[in-house]
Amino acid sequence: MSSNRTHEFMALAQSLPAGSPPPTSANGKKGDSDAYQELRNFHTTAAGISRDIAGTSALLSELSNLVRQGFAQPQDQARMNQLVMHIKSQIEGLNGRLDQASNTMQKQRRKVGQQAGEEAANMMDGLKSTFAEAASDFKKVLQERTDNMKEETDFQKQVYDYNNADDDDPIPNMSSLYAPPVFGGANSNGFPALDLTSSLMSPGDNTSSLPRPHGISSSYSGSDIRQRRPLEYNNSYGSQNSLGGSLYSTAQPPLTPLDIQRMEEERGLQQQLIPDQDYLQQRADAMSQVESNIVELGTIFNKLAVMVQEHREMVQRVDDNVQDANTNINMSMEVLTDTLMSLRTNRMLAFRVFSVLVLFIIAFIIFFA
Amino acid sequence: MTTPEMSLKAAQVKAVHRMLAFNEESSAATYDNDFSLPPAGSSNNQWKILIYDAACRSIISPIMSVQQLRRRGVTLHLLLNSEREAIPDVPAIYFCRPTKENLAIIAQDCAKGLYDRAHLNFVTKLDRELMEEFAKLVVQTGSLNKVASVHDQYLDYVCLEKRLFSLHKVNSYAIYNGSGTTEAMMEQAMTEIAYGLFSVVATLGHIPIIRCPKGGAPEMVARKLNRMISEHPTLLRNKSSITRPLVVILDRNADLITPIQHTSTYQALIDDLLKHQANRVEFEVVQDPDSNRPKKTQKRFDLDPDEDRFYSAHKFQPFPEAIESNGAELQEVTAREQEIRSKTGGADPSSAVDPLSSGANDLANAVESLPALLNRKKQLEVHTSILQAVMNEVAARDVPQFYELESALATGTYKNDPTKAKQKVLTFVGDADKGSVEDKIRLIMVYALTTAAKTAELDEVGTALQQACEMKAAQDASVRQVLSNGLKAISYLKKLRSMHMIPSAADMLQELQATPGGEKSSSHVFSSLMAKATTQATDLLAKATDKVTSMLGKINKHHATVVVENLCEMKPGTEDETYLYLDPKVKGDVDVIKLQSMTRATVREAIAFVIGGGCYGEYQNLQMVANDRRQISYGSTELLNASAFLSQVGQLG
Repeated sequence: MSSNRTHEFMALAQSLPAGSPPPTSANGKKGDSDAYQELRNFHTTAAGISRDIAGTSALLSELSNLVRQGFAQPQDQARMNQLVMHIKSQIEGLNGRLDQASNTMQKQRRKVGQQAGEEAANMMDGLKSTFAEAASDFKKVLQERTDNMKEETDFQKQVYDYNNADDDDPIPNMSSLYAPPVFGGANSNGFPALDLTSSLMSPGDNTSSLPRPHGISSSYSGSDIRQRRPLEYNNSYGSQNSLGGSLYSTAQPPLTPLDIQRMEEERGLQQQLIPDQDYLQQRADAMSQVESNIVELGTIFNKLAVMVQEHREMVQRVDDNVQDANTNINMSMEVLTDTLMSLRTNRMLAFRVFSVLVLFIIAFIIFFA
Repeated sequence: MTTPEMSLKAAQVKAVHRMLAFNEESSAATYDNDFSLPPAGSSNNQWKILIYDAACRSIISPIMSVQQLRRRGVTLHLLLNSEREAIPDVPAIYFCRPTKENLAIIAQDCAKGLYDRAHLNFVTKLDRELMEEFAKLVVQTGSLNKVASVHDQYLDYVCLEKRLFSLHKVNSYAIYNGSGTTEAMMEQAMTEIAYGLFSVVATLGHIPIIRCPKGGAPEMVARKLNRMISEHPTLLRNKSSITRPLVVILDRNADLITPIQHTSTYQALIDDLLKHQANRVEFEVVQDPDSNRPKKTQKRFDLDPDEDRFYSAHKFQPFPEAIESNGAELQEVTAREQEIRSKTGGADPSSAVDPLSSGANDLANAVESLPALLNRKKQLEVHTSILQAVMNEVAARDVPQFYELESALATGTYKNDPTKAKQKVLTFVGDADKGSVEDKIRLIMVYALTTAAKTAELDEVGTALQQACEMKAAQDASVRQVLSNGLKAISYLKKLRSMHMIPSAADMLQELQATPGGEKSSSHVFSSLMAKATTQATDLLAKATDKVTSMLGKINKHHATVVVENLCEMKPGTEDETYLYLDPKVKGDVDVIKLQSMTRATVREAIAFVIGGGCYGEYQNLQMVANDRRQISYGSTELLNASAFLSQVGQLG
């Protein structure tokens, strides 16, 4: 709770006789010198960057709200994609600007006073750490989105389609083609891996799970699909994976896939599959897009992490500087006293040091003589 | 706005944050934590420079770290008296005391045009004359446009913990009680104290009820405070608070035993035995004591009494219990860490694992919790080394025995047997190995204060002390100084006693009310301690058991605690009736007797303030009567440990 004395002060000041014309013109000249002008420009740039980071954060929060809603409508999907692209371009732009500003600041720092330089450096650090936070939030949101989309895709698959080999192709192909993202996405790696291992591990479940009526899900609904897919996979692409193929063939009646196809034809699901196919294709595209974004931004994230580490504030307490200086001086004193002690006690060492000194003196004399 | 439960520290932090936001009302939207702040540099959180003087630096330093300042947009923090260079285009926030010198420097800055605009914040009220002078200076140099705003912040106290504050007045006891102090000086000093208390009250935002004993410094301060609050327009216009805090003002002279006595709780021991200033502990550690040149390293730790989990839970516990808890927690944390490391197969936590098994999620969680766990372990290890250092001191100086004897003296165990008391004191004093000179002096002073020992007996003890310390005094100049100081302190006490200024020993301490599990719990802990010591071979614990078990005895209530408790619970026939009752909303004194017939609101928050120097032991003791429904904050003109207090008393002798 503070009391505002500004009005009182201003009234008081107005009542006093006006003083001499401001000698600030003299100071103003100094202030307008080149270095200070550049500093002013730097401040404006930094303010601009900060505003843009704030804008990016706002977009990011909108995106994260959308993502958190879970299953989203198509228009939300479109909006999300748009946001992702927007934010991505903004982040890349900001990264460039930050680098530029940092370089200018380093150059200017030598020209202006020490305190002004420190101030600029601290401002730069602040900007970088806010940017790093925004970027890592973006990364998290992207990861969440990827997870959500995978879940959705599984769910869609289970509900609409359990026998369409074509749909399966885009997703496993893409995931296996891409290099794993920089930050170790076990999820995107695990996707195809899950299929094979699960099927290999529990062949016994196949018999019970295969002839399942449309729409009813078991506790292993996800794994159902995955188990069946490699079956199709193996059957349609030949028995490349003989182990899997043999497992399947031994574990179940051989006609079951045909049964399913018949069942589906009967229900006329074929007509429904085409729009679903488009939909799933869309999803696959979106996911691949997301993954590529993550890969591209991966370099930026790494660089930021390194940057922020470098500039971690050394001094934690406001009144620390004096203490640190004191400690340093004490430590150096200690080292010197130790050396002195050891010199006193150790004749060989003293002799060696002395001889080196003498050598140098002789060398200098010869060199300069 | 401020709930009754908001602690003093939180209120102060909030006020400082508002100041850093240029005191704008629009930014009164409080940000719950630092993460919801707009990024520094945006319109709501501009970049700025903070300039403070030494006093205000010690105010800001315990409550805000450099990191937090940066988040609030402070790119640079400078001392007012240092050489400062021009940084054009950046607004500057000045936070300092309203003294003539400071104002001159600020006027100079404005004239030189060092910064863009200056926002002046004075830590306490700016006098009218000083403001006029400053206005003259500014107008003369034509730099009026540089001054953006002038505020009085009323933050003139240093808040070290959530419920502990100090006014940082140097040498307060010696000044207030010394014979060299004139009337005018006393008046000035009391006004400053009143301003400090007013800052505390203003920051909390509720109008308090003031209670103090009649006569002397407390009454002076209380009446000044009363007047200040009633004259201050905005505070009174504040909505009527539902619960009003109780401000109790006490004088150090009412209880001289507490700052001198040896303590047994963790935080108080740190303050007593190690170098402890503003939550920073320093001590020496001898590495390789067996080698030729044992290296002594200076260790320094910053303790956070509120955020540090271990410290805030155990700082009020008796020393052996703190050691035990530390050992137990350290074991638990190490076990958990091993568990996690073994789960991940040691080397690479991100190596391929079976994702289907539910262990994947557990594993991810475990790996994420590993850094937090390691952090906690580091914190615990800091406390282990501090405990070790304290233990070394305690063992070297035989502190538990002094503590035991002093408690016994204070609680009147020897009331009927004065010769036995003297015998015991003499044995302690005469023994050259036990304790440092200071410990012995403290013992003698407690003896003098608690028993009605005659002057002759005191002299006898004094000579015994001199004889015992002769050898040491001859070698070491510092010992000689401490000795002479101590003797002067004892003679001061004698003077006080002759003037009957010390209350009788009867009111000093009271035995702790026997809590039902009290006796059992202490012996239970004792036996468990013994069992643990025999099973584990920890050095620390083993040493603790043989030296420190006596510290597990009952902790007695000190005078301040008793007074505050009586006032809070409004017990009839105690200080509640004899103390003054001042209410800023009411003109004139309030008759407590009449008040007692009416029902009074329960006291939810109490602030105990001691004029002349407080100590951690008293702080800890007060927390004993604090519970869920009642918060007790403690403050003083300065926080002293026993040796500092002794030197001040010695000045008076």
